[in-house]
Amino acid sequence: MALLDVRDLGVRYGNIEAVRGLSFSVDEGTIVALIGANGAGKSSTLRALSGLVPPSSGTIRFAGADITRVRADRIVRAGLVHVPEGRAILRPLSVEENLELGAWTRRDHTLIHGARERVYELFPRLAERRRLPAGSLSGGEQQMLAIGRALMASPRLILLDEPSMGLAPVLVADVFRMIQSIHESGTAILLVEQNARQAMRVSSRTIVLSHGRVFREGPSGSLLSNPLIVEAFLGKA
Amino acid sequence: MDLTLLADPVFLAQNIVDGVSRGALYAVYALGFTLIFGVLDIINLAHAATFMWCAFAGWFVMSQLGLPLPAGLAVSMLAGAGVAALLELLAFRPLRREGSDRLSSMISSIGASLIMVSIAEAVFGVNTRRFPDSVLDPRPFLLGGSAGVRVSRAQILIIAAAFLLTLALGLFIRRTRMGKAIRAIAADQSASRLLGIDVDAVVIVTFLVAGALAGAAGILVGLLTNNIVPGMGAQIELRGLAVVILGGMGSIEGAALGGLILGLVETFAIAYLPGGSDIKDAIAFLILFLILLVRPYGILGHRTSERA
Amino acid sequence: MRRSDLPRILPWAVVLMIVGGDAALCARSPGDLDRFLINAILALSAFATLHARMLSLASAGFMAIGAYTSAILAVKVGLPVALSVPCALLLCGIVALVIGLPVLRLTDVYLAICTLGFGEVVRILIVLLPGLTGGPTGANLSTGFPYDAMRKTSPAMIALFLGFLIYLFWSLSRSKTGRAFRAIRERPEAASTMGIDVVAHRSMAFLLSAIIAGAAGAFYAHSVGSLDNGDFRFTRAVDVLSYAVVGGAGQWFGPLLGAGLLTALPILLRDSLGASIGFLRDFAQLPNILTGLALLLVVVFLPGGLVQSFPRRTMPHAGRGARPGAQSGDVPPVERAGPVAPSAWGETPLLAVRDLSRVFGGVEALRDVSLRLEEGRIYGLIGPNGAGKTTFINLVSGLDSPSSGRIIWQGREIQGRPPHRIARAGLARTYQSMRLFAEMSVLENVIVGHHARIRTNVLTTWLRLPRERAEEAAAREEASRLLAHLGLSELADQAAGTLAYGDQRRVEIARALALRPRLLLLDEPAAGMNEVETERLGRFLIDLKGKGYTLIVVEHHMDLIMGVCDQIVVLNFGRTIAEGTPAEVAGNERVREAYLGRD
Repeated sequence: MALLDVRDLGVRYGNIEAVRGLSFSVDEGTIVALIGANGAGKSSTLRALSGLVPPSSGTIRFAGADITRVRADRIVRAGLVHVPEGRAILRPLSVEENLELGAWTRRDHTLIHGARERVYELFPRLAERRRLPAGSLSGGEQQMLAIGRALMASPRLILLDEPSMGLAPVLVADVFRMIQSIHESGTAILLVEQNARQAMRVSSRTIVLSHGRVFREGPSGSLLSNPLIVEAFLGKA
Repeated sequence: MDLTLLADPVFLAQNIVDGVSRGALYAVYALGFTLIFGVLDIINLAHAATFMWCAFAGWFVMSQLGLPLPAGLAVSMLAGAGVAALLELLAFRPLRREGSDRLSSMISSIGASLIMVSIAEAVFGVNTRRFPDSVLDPRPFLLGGSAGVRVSRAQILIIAAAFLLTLALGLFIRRTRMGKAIRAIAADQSASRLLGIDVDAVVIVTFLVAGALAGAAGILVGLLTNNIVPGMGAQIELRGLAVVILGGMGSIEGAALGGLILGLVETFAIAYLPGGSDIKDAIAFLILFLILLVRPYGILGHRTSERA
Repeated sequence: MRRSDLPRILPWAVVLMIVGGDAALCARSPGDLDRFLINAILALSAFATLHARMLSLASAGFMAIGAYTSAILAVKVGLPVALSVPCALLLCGIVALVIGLPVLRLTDVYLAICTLGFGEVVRILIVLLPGLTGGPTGANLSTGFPYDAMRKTSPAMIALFLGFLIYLFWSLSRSKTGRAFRAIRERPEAASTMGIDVVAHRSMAFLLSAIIAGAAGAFYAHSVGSLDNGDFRFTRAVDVLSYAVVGGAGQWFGPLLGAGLLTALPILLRDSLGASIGFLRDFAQLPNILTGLALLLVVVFLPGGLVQSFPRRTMPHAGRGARPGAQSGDVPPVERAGPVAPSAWGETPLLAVRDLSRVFGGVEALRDVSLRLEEGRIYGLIGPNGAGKTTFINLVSGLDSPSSGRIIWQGREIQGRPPHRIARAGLARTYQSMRLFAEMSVLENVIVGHHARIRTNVLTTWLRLPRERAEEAAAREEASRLLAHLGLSELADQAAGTLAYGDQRRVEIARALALRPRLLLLDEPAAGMNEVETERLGRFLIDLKGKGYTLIVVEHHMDLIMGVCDQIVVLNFGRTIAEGTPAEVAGNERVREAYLGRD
């Protein structure tokens, strides 16, 4: 049984159907890439999964439980954490406070402390800046913080929305290295990315969205070399 | 202007004491008000009505039931917390669901305030009430002999309370787990949800705290002015607005500082300016005007896009 | 959007009840009638500002100024009412101008608080000038304001004035100025990029509101016969506000309904139920409780007030002048004011941008962008999310000022200019997240675009001179033709907010075209459109080019961009990374990297 099972998902904003009839699944401990042009429905999908917007149709099952209409804060407790587009870090709070809030759903202080130290090991730059307000961090550091914060909840599945957005190319490489090491620790990742090539490189499966529906789906390796994908992004030149 | 007044050190000291205690009152009132605004972006004009009801609750407990001051204070703060939570559920939460703007919540608070004050008028009538003398010894301390500075116990209590409450609130917001959650939802409600924070519950806690602060303010004002009437909220409400705008909307230290400044300025105006007691009411509004036009985010506030 | 789902008959029943109740109330005594009329006048004063999306609580203050000024002039100076009242209004106007200028720069709640403070300052001034005003005891016999000298007006006089105001607002609502206010109320930014001077209109609204409140005050003084400082406390401002909120500020009769309801209801309740429920008779707080309840209920359940539950007012004579389903309607050729002035470097680009930068608190949204756009071509502006495309459009259209750099339009520098000036100079734009005036009809939305070119002002509007009517009719005709060409004729009369998404996009474009621009900035015009609609849009854009328009199109729909544009500019991280024809850009490796990511 897949960790995340999405059937026939539909998301509307008023008159606009952002996502329609979307079905896919994510297995435990794997990385799945969700790519597509702007407006294709990627972010809307993640927002429906994490409970920020209610789906207009379809079902979402996580670890066997139906989470379709469950509130966002409860979904986090179930082990599904969403790192939204633009990172959504809490700017006035310090780096350390942001991390601590990442573990809001956990109660065991020893475990939380341990998780925090692990994050600092993974991201030494965050350790250096632990008392500074999160808003003063650079783009790359904020992305590290967002990912570290997600890890604090000890999730089974992380939804990553455009982690490389707005980052200089050298930092982008760092981000994908982070994604790789998270994967190695056993957490599953659903990765939404504009940087399609890198996303396909780091993932085992790729889903290409277009106009709110699945355009292509399959093992990342085979899709990487498919010219149709380029067309989906740059049109018929 | 009577220049001899300027040379009188005892008069000056007296005014400082009076000014600080008056300012402390404003500060405690403003703390609750600025908390709601800073966290939820709501201008709660029913804070004054809450404050008034708490004063009456305290009066009832101390005057009619004969309980001592600590009990009165405790009941008042509990009442305040309860009323504030009720306000959130009835007047503000439905608006949040709709995604309404700041003006709507302000208008909603005006409606709630009208109802609350009217009911108080109907129940308590126009006669003023006061706390019984047994509650607090009204004899003042005299510093520097019989012609020296008079400091009443009420004033001492008020200044101490203001100091402690500001400190306590600051510690709560900065050091406790719930305080962090409150700061989180103040920064970004949606991101907070994604961290697993139950935003609705944290909002209620915020109102509980703000309401308790209104309760404290109610008792303290009652102790100092000995004038508890349903209309007592009106004057302090406008001053409260001036204080939070002066100190910066949403800043706890700003509210304390702003309250202190306003209290001192008002007291000194009454004391040293001819016709000062007539214009003392205007001072708060003049400050309001000037600050809004020059520096809308106040002394300690932050610049956000408040200009049209 | 919250639309009431009350059945159609209920609103009219409520109106009937209000009218009946107030009639009964007024019939009881001239004093009651006066009070009702004055409340109605105050309600219109609140409407004037709420209508322009300003929450001003200054009505109590201006009412006090009007009341005391007229009282002093009539009693102490001996002027007849016909002079004292206009003088009082003049003073109100002057004060409004003086305090309005700084105050109007504030936003919503800060404006409300500031105006609240103003009211209190006025009251305090009154107390401080007892020789003039009677001080804290008020203006009555003991302070030199005898009742007979004060009492100068009759209900008929007040009713006449109210009638005049009603005519004024009714006339205004059917005019270009009324339409401008409705646009400002819904979307102030979109209104400004449609050529409407928002600041000027708001100042006008504030001035009007002050004068009307002053008139209400003057009538109050001369009808009640004495004044008390407590008459103008901020609770009065709250009452006035509630008339407008409960009745609804979308239409001029809304606040009147609110005033009618809130004035009559408590008295009627008291009279009808007071017989059976004893304490109700003496329940002095009933009016306030009802007002409070009404405010709470309205704000949550019926945010647009009572008027929201009425069927939307349709445009008068809609359809007249629009040839139904006509295909002969054609996009007018672009209006040229003359050849473009040669720029400093000798060329004649229509729009030139030099080293344009915009920094937001450390983030470089745009950096040293330089472009030259020739007339009569279609330019595409593309780039990944956050590349700076919308920032660019905001800078060119005037909604934002650059941190550095210049924008030169037809030889003149326009960076930092107000948006309405830029719109009138020939630059029109659409919005990524659509900003139609949802409650106005499709036709009206488009007519707003003509606003910049109809030459009328408030006075002639209200007099409804033949010239204004002719220009209005011409604007309607042109708007209808535009709609016809875009295939939107059947929807002309519908509320713009109810349209399907693709249709709304087209209305936005029609609205921009109504400005008769030389350059059109389109921010994601094809967003949400399907393939058929996108193709149709593409053909339309080429059509526009054929008529001489210049276009800048920001888009993610690559098919559209590649198929339609002559030149494409690619932005990434706020800088231009490529520029050229579609073929050149598609084959550019840096562009591919920007979109698909580096290997």
